[in-house]
Amino acid sequence: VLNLKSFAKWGFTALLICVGIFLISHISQAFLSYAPDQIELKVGHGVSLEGIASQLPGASVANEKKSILYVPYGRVDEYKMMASKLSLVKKVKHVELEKAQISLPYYWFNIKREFNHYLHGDFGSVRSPSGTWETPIAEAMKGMLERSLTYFVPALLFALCSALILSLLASLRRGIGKVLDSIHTVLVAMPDFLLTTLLTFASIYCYKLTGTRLFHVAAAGDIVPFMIPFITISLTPGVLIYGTLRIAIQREIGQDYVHTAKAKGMSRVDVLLSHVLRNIVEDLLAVMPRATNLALTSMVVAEAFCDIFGLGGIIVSPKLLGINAMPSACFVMVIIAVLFHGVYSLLRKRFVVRIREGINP
Amino acid sequence: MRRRPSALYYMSWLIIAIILLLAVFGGMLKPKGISEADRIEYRQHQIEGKTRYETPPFPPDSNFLLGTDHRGFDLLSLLLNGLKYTLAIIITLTTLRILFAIPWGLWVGVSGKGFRLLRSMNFVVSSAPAFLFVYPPLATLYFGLGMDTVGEANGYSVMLFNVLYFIMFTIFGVIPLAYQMAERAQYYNDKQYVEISRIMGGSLLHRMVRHILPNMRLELLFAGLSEFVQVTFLMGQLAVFKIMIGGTDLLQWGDPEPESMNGSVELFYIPRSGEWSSMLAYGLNYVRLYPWIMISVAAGLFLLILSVQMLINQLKKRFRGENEQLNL
Repeated sequence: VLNLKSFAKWGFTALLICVGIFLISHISQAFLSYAPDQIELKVGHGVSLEGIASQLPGASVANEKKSILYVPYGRVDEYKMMASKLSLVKKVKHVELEKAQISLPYYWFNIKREFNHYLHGDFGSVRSPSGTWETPIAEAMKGMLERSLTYFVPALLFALCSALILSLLASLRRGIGKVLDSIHTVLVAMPDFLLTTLLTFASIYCYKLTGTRLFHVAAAGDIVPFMIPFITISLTPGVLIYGTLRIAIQREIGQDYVHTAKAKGMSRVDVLLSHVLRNIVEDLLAVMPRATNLALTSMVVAEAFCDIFGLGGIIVSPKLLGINAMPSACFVMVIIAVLFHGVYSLLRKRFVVRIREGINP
Repeated sequence: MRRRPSALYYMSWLIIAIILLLAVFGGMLKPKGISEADRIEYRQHQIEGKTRYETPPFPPDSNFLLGTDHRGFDLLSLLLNGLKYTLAIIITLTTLRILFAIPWGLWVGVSGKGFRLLRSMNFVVSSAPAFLFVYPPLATLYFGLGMDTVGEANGYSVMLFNVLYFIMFTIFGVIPLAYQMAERAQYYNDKQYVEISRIMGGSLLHRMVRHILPNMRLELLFAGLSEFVQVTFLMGQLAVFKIMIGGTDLLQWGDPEPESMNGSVELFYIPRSGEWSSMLAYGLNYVRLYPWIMISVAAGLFLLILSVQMLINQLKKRFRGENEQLNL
């Protein structure tokens, strides 16, 4: 099943997306709001700017009157730090530009610098919410991944199983079908952030009124909410899978082979389980990649809501994540998505029979 | 044969018409004002014979049906006023996607040129969630331009951010839509009447405009409505991640003196206009303390999506009989 071509195709796709995310996530570096090679100093009266420049390697005086120094291109922050440590310097700041500029050289400079960091194994760092500790993202990744997958995989499986069972049930009885279809119409329009809000709201008010804790609404210490992410992740893909399978089953039920099977005396349940089910595998495997993407997005939303220090929650929390670590966190999510897509693709090759009509010219 | 329209079909159109009317006249229909003069610092009430003072946000009651924000502005009035801005943004983004995707998809589908490239691009884009492509650049730019910090973001930076926001939304929506259009255009291009038109000397543009486009009108309608829903979802999700379109009508909330808060003050944008995605981002900050803010806005977005979704369903039911070959 696993051939080299498929492996290369999915590997290349993951690489391409990672490169794309790396390039576009640094797009802010193309926008300059301050001079990339100058710093402005505030020094005591009578202090020579030349003297200060001589203490900073590679620096030179740009404007004596305004106390501006030239520093090596793109190393303003580093030189600000160095200059602030000098005893004669009172204050150091950027040289603000009148208005932000778009600079491709600056973008390219930063891309090369970041790439160098990556080559040296520096993928950025993660900070604690209080700022008391900072750790490399590569080290923090294991715990984050473990935390996120704890509810992501069960939720996706639950979505798949419940959607399959409900779509089969809906096809068995017209009454059940009508009720489930109506619920589906409402749920398909339900944004994940509304669901998470409602769950949080329900939990808080249930606790206030009855003293019973339905589920944890926020991460605190070792407590990691499970139910809110689980329900949020499973709902959106579940609704999508249900809708797809419902249409697929209805299509198959109208086929001749179903009428024949029924005419031969097979019950509706037997027809669904023995004949229809295997013919809707293609539809199921076709919708699963999209369902997985939706589940990943919902996971990020749920983690952001519940302040979970997980794979998705960390991406959208600027307090926890340095900008340089954001692409790394995204890469891991891309790899997870591509891995799932690869598995679906392999399953499609294994289980879906392809029929070609006629000869292609 | 076209089916006879049901009552639900007319009702779904009526709801859309009501939404559009609310968007146009919401500013006039709002029950309470949202200007500086309408700001409420506190309100007093009697509890056990003692006068108590309460500061906003106030929870929903008979006076404020959906509650208020931190300035004491009625949330219902804010939502009614903000609907037009939200709809304008969503419709602009949807239109931009369609404007680029349809000519591209049609040309690729009919001429056959660049089909493999488009397929590969679609394959790459659809292999990961859209927000993974859209969020990193927008977030880095949002924080890079200092749009979350007091005093740093100027009008030019806000404009730069808004342009990138529109570009990112458009690019990552155009590719899948163009591919979908290309596939459908290819399907129609293989029809005999299009082939005959080609043999008789019909140009590529002629075949696209006179033969293929008219046959795809329903698909275009459905694609447009689906894009509307997708854009609304993505906008809402980005707002949850605190990325939304800024504007000159956003107010700064909190202490403007950075020194008084250890040198860093996070801006709590409270949109004066009531634009929904900004309201959503603002509501999320207080989801556990004042949940009615978040619930009101998210429920508004839910009803908007539900109305469009209902229209899509009813249109599908109505036109299913007319053209079974449509990929609805």
